[in-house]
Amino acid sequence: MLAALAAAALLAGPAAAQEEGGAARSPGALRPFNLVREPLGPDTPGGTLERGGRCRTDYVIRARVERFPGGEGDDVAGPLPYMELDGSETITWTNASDDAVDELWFHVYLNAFANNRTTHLEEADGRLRGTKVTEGFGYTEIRGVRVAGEGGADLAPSLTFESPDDGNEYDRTVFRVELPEPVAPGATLSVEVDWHSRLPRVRRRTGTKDDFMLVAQWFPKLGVYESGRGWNCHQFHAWSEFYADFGTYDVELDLPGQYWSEQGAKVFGTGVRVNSRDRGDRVVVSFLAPSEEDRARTEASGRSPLVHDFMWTADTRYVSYIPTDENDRPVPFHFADWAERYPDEVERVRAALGPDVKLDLRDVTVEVLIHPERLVQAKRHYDATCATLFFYGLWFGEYPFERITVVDPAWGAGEAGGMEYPTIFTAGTSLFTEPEMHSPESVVVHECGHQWFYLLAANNEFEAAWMDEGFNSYADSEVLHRVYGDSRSVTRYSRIPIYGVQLVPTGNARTGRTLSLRDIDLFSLDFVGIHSDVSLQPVVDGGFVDWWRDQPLFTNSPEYTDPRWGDRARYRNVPDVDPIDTWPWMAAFRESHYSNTHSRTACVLRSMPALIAAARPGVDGEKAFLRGMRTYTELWRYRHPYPDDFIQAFQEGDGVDLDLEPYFDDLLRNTLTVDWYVQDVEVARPDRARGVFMDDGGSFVPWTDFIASARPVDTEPTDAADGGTGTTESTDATTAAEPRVVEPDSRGEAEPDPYRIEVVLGRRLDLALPVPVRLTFADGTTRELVWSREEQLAKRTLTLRFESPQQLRSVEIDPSKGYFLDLDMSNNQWFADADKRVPMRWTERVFSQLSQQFQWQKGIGG
Amino acid sequence: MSQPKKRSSSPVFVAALNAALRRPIAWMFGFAGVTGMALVASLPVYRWFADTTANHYAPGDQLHHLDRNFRTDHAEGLAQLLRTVGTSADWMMVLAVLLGIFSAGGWLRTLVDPRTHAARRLFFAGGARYYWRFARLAVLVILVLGVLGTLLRHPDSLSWQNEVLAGWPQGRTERATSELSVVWMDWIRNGVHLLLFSLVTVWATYTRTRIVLQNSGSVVVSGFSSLWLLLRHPIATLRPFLILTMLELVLLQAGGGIGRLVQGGLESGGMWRVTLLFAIGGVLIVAREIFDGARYAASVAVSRSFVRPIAIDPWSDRIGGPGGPQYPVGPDDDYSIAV
Repeated sequence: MLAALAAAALLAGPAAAQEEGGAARSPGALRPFNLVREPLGPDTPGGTLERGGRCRTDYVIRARVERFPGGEGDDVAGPLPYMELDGSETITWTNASDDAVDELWFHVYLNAFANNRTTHLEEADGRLRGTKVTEGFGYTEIRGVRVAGEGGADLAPSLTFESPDDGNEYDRTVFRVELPEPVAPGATLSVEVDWHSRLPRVRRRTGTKDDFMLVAQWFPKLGVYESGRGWNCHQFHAWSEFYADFGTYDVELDLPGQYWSEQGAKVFGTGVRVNSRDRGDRVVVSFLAPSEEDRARTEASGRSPLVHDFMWTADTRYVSYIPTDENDRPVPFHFADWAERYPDEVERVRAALGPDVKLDLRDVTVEVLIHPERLVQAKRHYDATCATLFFYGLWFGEYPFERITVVDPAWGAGEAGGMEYPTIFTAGTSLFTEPEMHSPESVVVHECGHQWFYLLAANNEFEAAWMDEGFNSYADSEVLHRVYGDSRSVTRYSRIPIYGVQLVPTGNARTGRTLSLRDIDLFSLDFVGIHSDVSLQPVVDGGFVDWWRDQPLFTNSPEYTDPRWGDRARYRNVPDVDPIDTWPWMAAFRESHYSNTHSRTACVLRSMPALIAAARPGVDGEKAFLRGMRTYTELWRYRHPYPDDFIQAFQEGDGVDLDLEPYFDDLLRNTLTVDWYVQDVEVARPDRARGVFMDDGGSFVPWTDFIASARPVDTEPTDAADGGTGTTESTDATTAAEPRVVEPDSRGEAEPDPYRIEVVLGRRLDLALPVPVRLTFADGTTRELVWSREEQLAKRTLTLRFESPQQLRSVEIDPSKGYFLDLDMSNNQWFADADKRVPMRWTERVFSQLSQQFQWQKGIGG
Repeated sequence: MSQPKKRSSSPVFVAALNAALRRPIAWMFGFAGVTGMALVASLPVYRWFADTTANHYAPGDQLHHLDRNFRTDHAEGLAQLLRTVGTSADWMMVLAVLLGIFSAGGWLRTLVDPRTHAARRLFFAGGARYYWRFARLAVLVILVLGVLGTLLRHPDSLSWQNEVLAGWPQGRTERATSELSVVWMDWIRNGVHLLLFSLVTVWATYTRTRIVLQNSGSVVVSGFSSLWLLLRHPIATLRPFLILTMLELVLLQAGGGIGRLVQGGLESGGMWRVTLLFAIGGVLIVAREIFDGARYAASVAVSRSFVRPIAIDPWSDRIGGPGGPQYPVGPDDDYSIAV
């Protein structure tokens, strides 16, 4: 009870603080933002591990949807038709925490779309996915809350809306009710909630457009109770997602009759549809999530499949695509088919995880809901989903449900695309795409991948969004790379894609647009009171004319992108503003949040194999990384991990005697970055030695005798080259390089002396990770060494001096390009020979583009 | 109306191509001007890539395409470089238009005048003689194209078209019920733009031809006259242009295909592949110049069939002594004067 009170006090903190400060809540008063300032850290009550919710919540929901015509005068709905939903639910909550709980906290996510002053809309500057929200608002009104059963207590009188994160009085996305008596640990409580909703015009993830409905976050949903920490029930923020208990969903929907067709109900959702009935002007469909069969299964860990959300969708124009065999039977995802296609990957995983690990995966029915005009892309959606089921399943464990559904949002409802829900997810595509463009493949793989990082390992997306988005961004690129290779950039002319890009942007700025006749501003008529932005656009961009002008077939430059490196490009934009482990809405700005949550986290994961291999030479970093990730995903399956849980699970599982804690601290909870570089390479061949030289015995001897004493490689101290300490010290790394010392017998009198080589490596910025270095000589031999973390912390440069009979061909820091965190990889290597073709090649491309442009422009004159 | 007299058995476009091909000074002038400007504008690219790649990349790296890391690591430098080149190119666009004005006069003078042996003198004389008239016409063309472009593509105009033609409330494409309907609207709009754009350029060509043929001083009058010609004889006037454009299209596609083949093997090939790409680009520019000339030649041939006799004095170049018989010199005349 005390713990519960402490937790309540914690959550009530903002309000309490506000009251203490004397700032009364009144309309128009300045809202106190960010009253919760610090993420919960290792010292938080509840400990560092197992602090995620352990309770279970089961839902039985009944809802009826009615369609209403919109109207130009309707400021709330706007001109489009809208839907209203009346629902009731019975929530059965099992308190698996260590605390007795005397209140319940609920999310009412739809209220984020009620007005433009909600926390969600304010954080998004009133724009959702690029569209300013001025109409199509949606909301949920709570009509009743009571303890289930006859004579159950009415909880509505104690209902209060809360804004635990920012005190925003206009935000009604969280409410709480007090219970007549606490729910003891291990006890179960059922409550009934009635509500009425107007579904918003789909602007972000949820809503309607014409007949299309994608209804997510649509029912009052219990927050997550965490032992020692209380209810974790944040407001609906623009930059964060969701967090809910695992459980089961039994849902019945009653919709207008238009959603019935000859093929049955055009209504789909999480789990499986168990019943659908045509009642003339109504359609009634029922869902179970997970299915009865899945609920009955018990995995090796002793756990059974559960989900933590329910989404449904309906559209009169949906075409359901499930491939069938020659006997018209559905063809499910089948592990063996894919294992046959990628045997090396199966072997790689087996080698990493050991022969006893069960790798084969269950069959899964994959259904694609697509619109008729994009039907030709249905197979591509299907294949990308199967690829994800295979690779993610292989790496992170089996997808446990019998079915998965891919949704292609309707035209004009693209804002519903690219979002994950249990056993169902939305993609998003357009006409005229090719697989080489990775569209829709990339979004399908990513959203499908969330079934592992969101559904199965269900981290708190409010507080550690990077644990699902970042992990998934890492893995989706790996799948894309293996299945689809590099993506090819295109330039679109009248929506038709042509491979390649025009290198030189013409029509730059205002003057450039005028000079190139793209946009000639007419004189302003302001002085006569006419405000106009009329301009002439003789060669305005867009369309077939551009195609004739550009002649892209031979002026475009090819552009390919390895999907794995895409994350680095985005990470590099905002590499060091916030630590990765930051609550999303506390990030300095939106781009910092997105970079950290998606790209930087992906780069950290992708750099881990290199880090492990460099820190423990001889260890296969890739395999160790796979073991660590597998341990994490298996340990936290159907559970709620926090960052420390990941770190601990990974370290336990990777099988390497290496303390990764300092590295994870630097990478996840700090803003350190790094740039290694080859500062200088000097190769000299002095004149042949003449005269006599003093040997170790103090006698002067000829050069050949002198060199025969096998003078070791110079381990002279190195100077700080970047304003470092300037102290001198020797380094083991020079010895580790094992540069060759010339054997005296091997050199004839006429042979020239060996090359004297000096290589200086440097490190900018403050992240120090062990990094491999490779030297390659003219005869093809190589020498490798590791520049250790300790050496880097002690000194920012490393100087290698040695002699070699072979000319040095190249010096490469991180030669396998394993560190995706390196801010600048262009300075990581030095090659003796420059490729003279490269500057000519790109001059030619620019020349080709410009000469065609000029030739075309010349035609305007005559 | 009398039927146009057939001057040659070969189709107009063939004769036009032949005539253009036989005036190397004209297409060489255009080629030199266009490629010269492109070369000047692209020189900084050579310097930048030479400095940037230098000893930092393995031979063969970045040869076929600039990989993601290169684009990321050099994002700022590369963007700055290309923006600078683009800004230079913007200024050169103006020069290109002026070059076109001069070149048009040169082409027409050499095509109207039968003396191929004096083509160089005629080309420059023509370029200078009609420069200001054609410059005025260029302004008119830009104005007309500007009005068309604005009508078709200004955001307000787009909304209006969407609302009226497609019935989308407020002209917002998101109100459409399918992506395909949006695509069709785009194609229709862009198709109309292409058609009107092409017609304006054809009209401008006939107008220039009429100015030369009739030595007209009024661009506007000639413009209306040529417009009337186009409206009265659309098939005869447009057919050779359409055929020539189709041929040019085929040639460019073929050139593009060859170019892509050459690019495909860049990583394993030597400098000759890069050189070959330069050559392909140059050859295609020459070809486009010849096609431009052929369009003028076709315009001259068609115009001569419909407009009143040319204003250029056919006797200005003649043989024969004063007081005696004089003969005009045609392109096929073979003559010599014995002293």
